[in-house]
Amino acid sequence: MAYNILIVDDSSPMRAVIKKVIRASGFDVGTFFDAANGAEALALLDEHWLDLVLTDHNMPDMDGLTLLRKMKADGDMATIPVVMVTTEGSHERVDTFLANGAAAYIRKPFTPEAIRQTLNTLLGEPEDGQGSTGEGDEGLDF
Amino acid sequence: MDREALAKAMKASISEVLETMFFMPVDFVTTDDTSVAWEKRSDDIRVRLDFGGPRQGSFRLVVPAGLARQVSADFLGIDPGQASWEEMTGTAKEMINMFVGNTLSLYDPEAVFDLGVPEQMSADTPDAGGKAEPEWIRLDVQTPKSRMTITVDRPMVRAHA
Repeated sequence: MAYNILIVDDSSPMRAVIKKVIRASGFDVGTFFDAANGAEALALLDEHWLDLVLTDHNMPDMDGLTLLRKMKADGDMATIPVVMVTTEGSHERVDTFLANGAAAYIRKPFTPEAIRQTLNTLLGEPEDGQGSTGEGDEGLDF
Repeated sequence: MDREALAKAMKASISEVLETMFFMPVDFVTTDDTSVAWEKRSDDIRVRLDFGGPRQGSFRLVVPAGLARQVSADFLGIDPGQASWEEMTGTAKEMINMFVGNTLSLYDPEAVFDLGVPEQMSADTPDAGGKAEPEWIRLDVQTPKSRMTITVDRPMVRAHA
């Protein structure tokens, strides 16, 4: 099954790195969608079928927490898993993300393994086995 | 804010970010002389990130163009010669975003700080946001081939309305 994945981050290099890690992990990606803030993400979510959203928190126009809340309040978007990928590491902020329905939280800076393991949990392991966390697969690079 | 504790958190954060995401071992050049002005070069990439919350302040990062080109290429997995100016500034902004977010989380994991959006500064922007006061903390980060500088203005307690 090919997954449509939306990456939301105001940093173009960070979006590129996340995509690269996901591709290198062997997940079958149909289409990657990009958004630079929550408002752009909502517009894409209105128009396309998406299986997973990875979003930063600190962004201009609409932050990641607002995007998360709007998605969870929307009948069509509420079931899409949202992963927060952010430098925000305070306990209270992380609790807020999870309490508002985030499926997972990944702290920047992240290792490729952190992305891979989170996607394994949410999407299942890739069929080619690259997403396994067993021995011998620690060589995944950015 | 405790200056020594913040500097310690900055060092831990910078090391983790550069080693985890840029595969770059770093060392810190110790200097207490915060009056030393930056050696301005027109092609330095200069970015700043303001924060609010229990305290408010500003971090600034200066990266020589050659180093910015290298870290951008390492980050994106491209040849250094292919790195565009936009990619170099974008990478510098993401670096300061990670430096600051992690620094503040390490400094006080119970406090909720509000990070701003990283902004690029021009070479003729006054160093301390127009103030004559020198930086409160200055760290010179030595990489294998170059050096970047990160500074913090003295954080202020948030004014209540």
